[in-house]
Amino acid sequence: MGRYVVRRVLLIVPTLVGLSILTFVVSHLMPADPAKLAAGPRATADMVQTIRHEYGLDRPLYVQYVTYVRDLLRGNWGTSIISQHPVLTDLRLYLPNTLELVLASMTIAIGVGVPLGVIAAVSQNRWPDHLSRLFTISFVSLPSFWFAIILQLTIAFTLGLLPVDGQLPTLTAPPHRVTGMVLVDSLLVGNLPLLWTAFQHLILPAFVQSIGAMAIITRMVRGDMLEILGQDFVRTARAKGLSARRVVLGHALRNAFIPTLTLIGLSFGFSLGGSVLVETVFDWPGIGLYAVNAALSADFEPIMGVTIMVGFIFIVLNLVVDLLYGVLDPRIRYT
Amino acid sequence: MDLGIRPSVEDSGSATATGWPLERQRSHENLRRQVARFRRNRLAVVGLAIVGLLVVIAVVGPYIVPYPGDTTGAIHPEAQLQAPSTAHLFGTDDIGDDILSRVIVGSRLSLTVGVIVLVIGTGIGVPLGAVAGYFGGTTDVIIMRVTDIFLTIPALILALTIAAALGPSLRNAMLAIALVWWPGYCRLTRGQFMSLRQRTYVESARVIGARDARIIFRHILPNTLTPIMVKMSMDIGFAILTAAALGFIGVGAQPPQPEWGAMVSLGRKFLPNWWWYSTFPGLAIFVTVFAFNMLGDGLRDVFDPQGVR
Repeated sequence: MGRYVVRRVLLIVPTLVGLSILTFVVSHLMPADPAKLAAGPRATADMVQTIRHEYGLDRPLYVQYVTYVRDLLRGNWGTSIISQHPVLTDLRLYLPNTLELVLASMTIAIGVGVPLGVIAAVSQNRWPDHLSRLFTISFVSLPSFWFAIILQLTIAFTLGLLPVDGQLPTLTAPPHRVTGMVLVDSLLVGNLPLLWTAFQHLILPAFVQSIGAMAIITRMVRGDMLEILGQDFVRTARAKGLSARRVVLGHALRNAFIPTLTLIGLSFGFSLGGSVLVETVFDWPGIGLYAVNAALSADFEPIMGVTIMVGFIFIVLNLVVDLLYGVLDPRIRYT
Repeated sequence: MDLGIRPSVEDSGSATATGWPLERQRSHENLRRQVARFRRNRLAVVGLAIVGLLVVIAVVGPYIVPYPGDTTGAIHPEAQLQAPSTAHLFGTDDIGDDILSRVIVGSRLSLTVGVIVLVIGTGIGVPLGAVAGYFGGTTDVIIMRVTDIFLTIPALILALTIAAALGPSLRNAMLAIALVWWPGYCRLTRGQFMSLRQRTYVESARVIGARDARIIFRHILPNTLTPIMVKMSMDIGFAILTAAALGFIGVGAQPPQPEWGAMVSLGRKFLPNWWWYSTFPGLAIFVTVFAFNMLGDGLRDVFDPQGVR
């Protein structure tokens, strides 16, 4: 097991290198000359050249790459033009909010998706199954930003059941910062009214964010369950006289867990990417909104920072899932 | 009218009662079975119908819209933000343009984007995957590493970054999405090639001296087309969705282009009183993507029923 862990962890390194190369290449895709942009419209050619030298833009590309990686590792991810803060500082501020959103949405996705998948499998080809397939395809086809707006219109504006946007009501101070996640922090601090408000603000965004993953999880659990239910050991259990519920919950579900685990990992990354849209509609102060605002203001360093951070999280997530796989299914360790 | 086109028993050697050689008859039966299987899937048939309707609208639309001038952003201050009515079925927007007309013309944009993204994506991904799968070794490792890197970053974020770097426009958004999409096709093609290159007919071709390129194009590639096309039919919905998402964020199509995602974004300022501005373009996105997904699901069911239905 130890050797598997070491091998798997070492595999990250080339992927991380690749990630840095990709972001480096993308950051050089800009058609505009960054030196000219920095110098301003009235700069002379000399001034532009000075700035170019100052930023090291006249060095050969591989030298620039090395500087780039060195800066990344040192924590120098550039500065945001809009906020005037270092990008890493901004990211540290906003990332917990996105994580809060993603974790909440994954909880909903799994909590609703797994039972639905089991139900669909157990009632195969009868109406619950067909209905769940209709929902699955619908949820996966819904533009999340549009669905978010529709829910805002109906539930928030018209019915007034939930707040329209934001993480907290305007002019409400967040709780003392422990994790950075408002819901968790207000619980830790013991501020229950704040907890309740934060929870109300979290529901709609988390729900909208969850539907994509929910649909995929439902389908996958259904598929896996069907496969397992057709196997011999299930027949044996039934023949032994075990009730259907015991068979499904005790025997079949356990075996369906492993492939579902990868799926959950993938969905997490998926949600992380898609959070951009939900955060924009609900004005949720996460890294997605940060990236969008930066994109619209041609503020480039924050976008690159978000991309690197999200890529990094994704890589670590895949590592964790693979390691868990190795724990759960011993056969994997020998591949 | 008998044109005399009939296989003669002498030249095929395995003619059946209908006169056609066995292989041709089998493929006829195959096709009929597949069509029957597709037709049994009611959702898929509905999907096909809607997609067909959408294609017709995209092609014919600009000529039949009720307010052709509005599709390019003509300003009508007197008709601003009117609620849906018989004159304007989807209402009007903040500069008085008829939303229905803009949505209809927007269908052309969305469908074109979906197709182009897939064409570029497969254009890059399939050849790379073929080379990786066929030659194996170092080429394979390099190509797979590159693919893995692209796959580590969630699609929307990468597309957002690339589109932001290149500058906001529909063309750059398409390029960005295609760059995010090609790894999937590369992987798929590579997998196909790796399993198919072991087959006997490939070995035979090599033995009689066929060059690698010929083997790839003439022998293996035709057999990989089906899974690739199934994937394309399933992907086109998501390509359109991603393009709309980029348009919503603002790095895709720019006003006054009637792109659905951009329209939803513009309409946000006018919630909740003038709700129709965001609602109808978004509904168009949903219906389109839904139809393509149903169609793709049905096609996958017919050609590639690996998972349990």
